[in-house]
Amino acid sequence: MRERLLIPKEKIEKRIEELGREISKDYLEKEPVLICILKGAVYFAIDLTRHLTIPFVIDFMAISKYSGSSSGVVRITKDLDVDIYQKDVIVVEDIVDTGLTLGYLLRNLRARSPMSLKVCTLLDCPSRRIVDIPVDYKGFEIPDVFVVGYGLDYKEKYRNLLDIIVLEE
Amino acid sequence: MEIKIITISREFGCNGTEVAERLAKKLKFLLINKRYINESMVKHGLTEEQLESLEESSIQPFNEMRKKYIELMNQLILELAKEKPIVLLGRGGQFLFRNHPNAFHVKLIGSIENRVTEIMTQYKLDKVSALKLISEQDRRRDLYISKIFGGDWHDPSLYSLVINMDYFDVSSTVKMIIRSIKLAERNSNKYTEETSEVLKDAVGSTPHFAHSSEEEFAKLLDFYRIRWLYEPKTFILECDSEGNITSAFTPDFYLPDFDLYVELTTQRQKLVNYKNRKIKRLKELYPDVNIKMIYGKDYKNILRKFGLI
Repeated sequence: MRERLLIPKEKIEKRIEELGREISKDYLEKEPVLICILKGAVYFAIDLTRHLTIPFVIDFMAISKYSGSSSGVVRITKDLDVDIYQKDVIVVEDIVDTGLTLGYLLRNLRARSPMSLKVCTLLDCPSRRIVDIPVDYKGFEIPDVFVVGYGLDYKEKYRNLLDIIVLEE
Repeated sequence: MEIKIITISREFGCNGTEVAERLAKKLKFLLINKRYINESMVKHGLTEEQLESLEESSIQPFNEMRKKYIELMNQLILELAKEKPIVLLGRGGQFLFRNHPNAFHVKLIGSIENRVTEIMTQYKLDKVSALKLISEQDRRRDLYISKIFGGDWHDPSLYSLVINMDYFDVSSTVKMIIRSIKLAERNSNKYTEETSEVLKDAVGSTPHFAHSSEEEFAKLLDFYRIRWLYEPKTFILECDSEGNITSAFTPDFYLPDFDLYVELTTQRQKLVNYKNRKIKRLKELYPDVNIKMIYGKDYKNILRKFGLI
């Protein structure tokens, strides 16, 4: 597959810094719980926290991935260690595309009665959306292309790339 | 799931106070109303005068002190709910405990005529004064909820049960709420035991898919526990002069929880253009129908994301 640069690392760094400032301003005098969705969002979540000027709690969550088999349903494979009841929660994602994964996660998290629940994603691909999901903070809106790098993978590869690149046939 | 928090929201003049009192007594739940909160607040060091000027129904700007009072009040309610089962009257309980797994939200409504009659009797007022009082109280409640919780308390989806008090007296209403709670508890237990297979049964057995991509898509929806129906409805797009259908369109899927139709178009471009024209016409004729097209390229990228291709 061919590789094409979509977002260079300088642009990513600058945008994450802006997002950090925006979240710090919106959550002034609060202590949000940042829920990083494993594995893709790790790089983004960590860099984002470096630009937060407010106190925060970070936790991680993982859910099973669709494997194409006919049986089974989505499950939480790593749950939160912290209690989010009546807390301000920000879900940190690498990409929101179909909304299927995030839709399930939000339904699950809402049932735990947080004070507020927002979504921060590095990439938003609205043209691929199946289920409507409100995105509160987004780094970049991208067209319907297959992207890897900066945490995003293709069969577990490319995560450690500093730029975001498009994989094309 | 056991219901441990019952919130009662009420339009003014719907006997909400009496319903909440009787309900709490019958269920042996702690009743949290204005009086209970004020007594607790006094214990927290607020004076009677301060309370008078700060409490919900006062016409006060939302200054810092009032905000703090409300924060303190909300905190108090949340703490109490952790300790024992409660019936909470007003105070934005439907927002405070929104999506709480053990909460049941009731709203009491009534026609303006019946509410006026009730207020005239209760407060010994004439019709004009009763009407004025109702409109003032309604406006204050709207303001309180929108300022504190940023929501619209008239939204019926906030409630587990909405009762029109024009049709029921207090005693029947209390019985109805208790019965509804029991049913909700029973159904929710059943729901948590539900598997995707049962969900599938609820919307019909596995259909015969026209294309393998549709079958794959159905599996994906099942995985994410999203209910779907396959080709449940045909939309008529055109008829001839004798009323015979000359053009129609049947979207592949309907997702009832999202009120959304989904059409997969993984075929050749020529057919895609044909489908696009049909969907454009469908949107013109049925503007309230939500439909989403998933094109071949989108679909391929979805499968690639899951590492399936």
